[in-house]
Amino acid sequence: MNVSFTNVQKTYCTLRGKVEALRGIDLEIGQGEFFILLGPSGCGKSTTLNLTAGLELPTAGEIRFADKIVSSPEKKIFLSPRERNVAMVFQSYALYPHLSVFENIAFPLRVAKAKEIGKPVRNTAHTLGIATLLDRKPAELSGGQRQRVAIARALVRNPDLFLLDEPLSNLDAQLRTSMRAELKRLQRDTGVTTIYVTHDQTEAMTLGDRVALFRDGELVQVGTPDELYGRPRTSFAATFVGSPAMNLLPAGIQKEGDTTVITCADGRSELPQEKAWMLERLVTREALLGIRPEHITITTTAELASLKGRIETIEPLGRELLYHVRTGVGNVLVLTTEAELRLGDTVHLVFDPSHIHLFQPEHGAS
Amino acid sequence: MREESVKKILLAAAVALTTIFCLGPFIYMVLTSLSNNPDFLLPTKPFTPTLANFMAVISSESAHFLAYLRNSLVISAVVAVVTVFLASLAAYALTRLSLPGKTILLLSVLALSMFPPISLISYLFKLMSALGWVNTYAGLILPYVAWTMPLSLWILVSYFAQVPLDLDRSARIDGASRFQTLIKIILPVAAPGVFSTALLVFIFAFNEFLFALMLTVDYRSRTIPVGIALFEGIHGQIPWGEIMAAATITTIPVVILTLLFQKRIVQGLTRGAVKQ
Repeated sequence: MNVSFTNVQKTYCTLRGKVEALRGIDLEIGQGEFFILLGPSGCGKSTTLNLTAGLELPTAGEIRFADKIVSSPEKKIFLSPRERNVAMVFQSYALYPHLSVFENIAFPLRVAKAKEIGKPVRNTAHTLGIATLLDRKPAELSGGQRQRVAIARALVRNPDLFLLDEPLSNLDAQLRTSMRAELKRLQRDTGVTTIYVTHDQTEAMTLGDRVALFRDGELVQVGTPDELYGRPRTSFAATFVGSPAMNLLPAGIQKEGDTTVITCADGRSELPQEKAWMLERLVTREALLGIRPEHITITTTAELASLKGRIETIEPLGRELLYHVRTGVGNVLVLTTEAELRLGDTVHLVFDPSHIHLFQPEHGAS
Repeated sequence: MREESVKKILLAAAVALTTIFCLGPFIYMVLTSLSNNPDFLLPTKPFTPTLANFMAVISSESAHFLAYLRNSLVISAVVAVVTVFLASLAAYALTRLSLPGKTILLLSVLALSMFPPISLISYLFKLMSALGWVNTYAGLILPYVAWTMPLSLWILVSYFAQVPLDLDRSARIDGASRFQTLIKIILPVAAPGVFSTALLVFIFAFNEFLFALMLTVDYRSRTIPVGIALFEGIHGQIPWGEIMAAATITTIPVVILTLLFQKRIVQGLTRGAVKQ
């Protein structure tokens, strides 16, 4: 089932005044898609999920499941969660503590007065590897097991839409990685359209077919993980996606004949022709140059047009090293396999021109 | 080591004193009820235990003791169930729905409970007379429900507020209506609180005196506290032994209830609900 949002807005009235949680979201989520809502806390991603589930009413706009309108304050339409056939997994798991694992999974079926309960519950439990835990109470389960029960409860009634609200953030790192792989497999096997909320860009990149990046109640960018990584639209998208984060340095733009030259302190780069479109989003001659740590070459020999700096910190990451280099225009992170450099060394940084990004500096926010 | 033992002795003494202080009247009541001698306090007379007072209280037709006891049990049980049910609905609304002026509502409920019952009783009597409810169960149940509601509401609100909201949201997504969510999820999870509230309401209604005194006329609706207070011997004397026997029997239901529900109250049902 595909889901579409048209100009969806949500305003909360609090004692301190109105808070705009969503300022007009337009989104199309395709049938069977694993769709990620990504962003820092308070950006509106969870609100979007709650609006989809029917736990909250939008202030304006329209939400459709396939061709059916499920929320539209203008048309006075609002379907309750039970009419939407959506399933949700919560960050806290929200297992019913007084019910056994079996009854927890069976709960949606019992509420719906399903004819058959035992078989679907056992099948789902089997799929998730918790068939032996059916008699236990949630208090007797480990974090990973509770997580599986929560997923089983969501899957047992074949929902049209599967909603996950930061489901992995309460698990330890190792379990998180394995559950991530399992979630992806489950989603592919069931083919249920899935909306997944997270603030962890790694989860977003590894799980998502497409990712919607939120900030302050607005959509910053929607695209595949590759698009977000390779062609971030704003400096926020550039720094939020990818780890270690993209370097942003103040830069000047100059036209020299047919070529555009970007200067950054003593560093100079020519903007490749295929990147000329980036200039269109610049309002002023001031720009932010974005370059990912892995797209910088670091040498000790002075090269023409390189940026000079001094190594301040070295973080060995196993296969690679992360150098923190202090330059005249700020700190630059460099990710490389070059292991010969020492703390305090004077180095020269050369940016790979084909991986340069240009952004309009934001005012008031970084 | 010496300091330790001194501390232990002091503690034991304090415990013993408190126990004697609290249970003293109770023991006195039980002893008097078992005595065959109304002048029990005189140390010169020997104490021979007897169940005669109990037999007299239970078997006496004119004393109506069993009728009073039944009235009390029925009225208190109905009040406990009705109050807790209504207070649950209210507590659900106050903790779950976005209502304007929640705090004001709760505070005004509290303010209402500050009215001394004596100031209400004359109007209450007029009202019940007009309704023809004087000397009926309903005539006591209604004021009792109103009178125990603020306390129940406050207790239940604090218990419901501890039930994670994610449980509600989850239940509603699983297809439960708000009422089903309350009955199937919130009440069982908050069961310790619900039980202790019901118990408190029961005990309050069971012990209530003033309303019962004013709104009942005879054994058809009179409750046990009033019954005992108005107890008279056949010849007009004060039959201490029988009064104490009646009082002793009256404490039994409350003691049993407390012992029964102690486990449920203590049981921490909410553990494991959400990851801490």
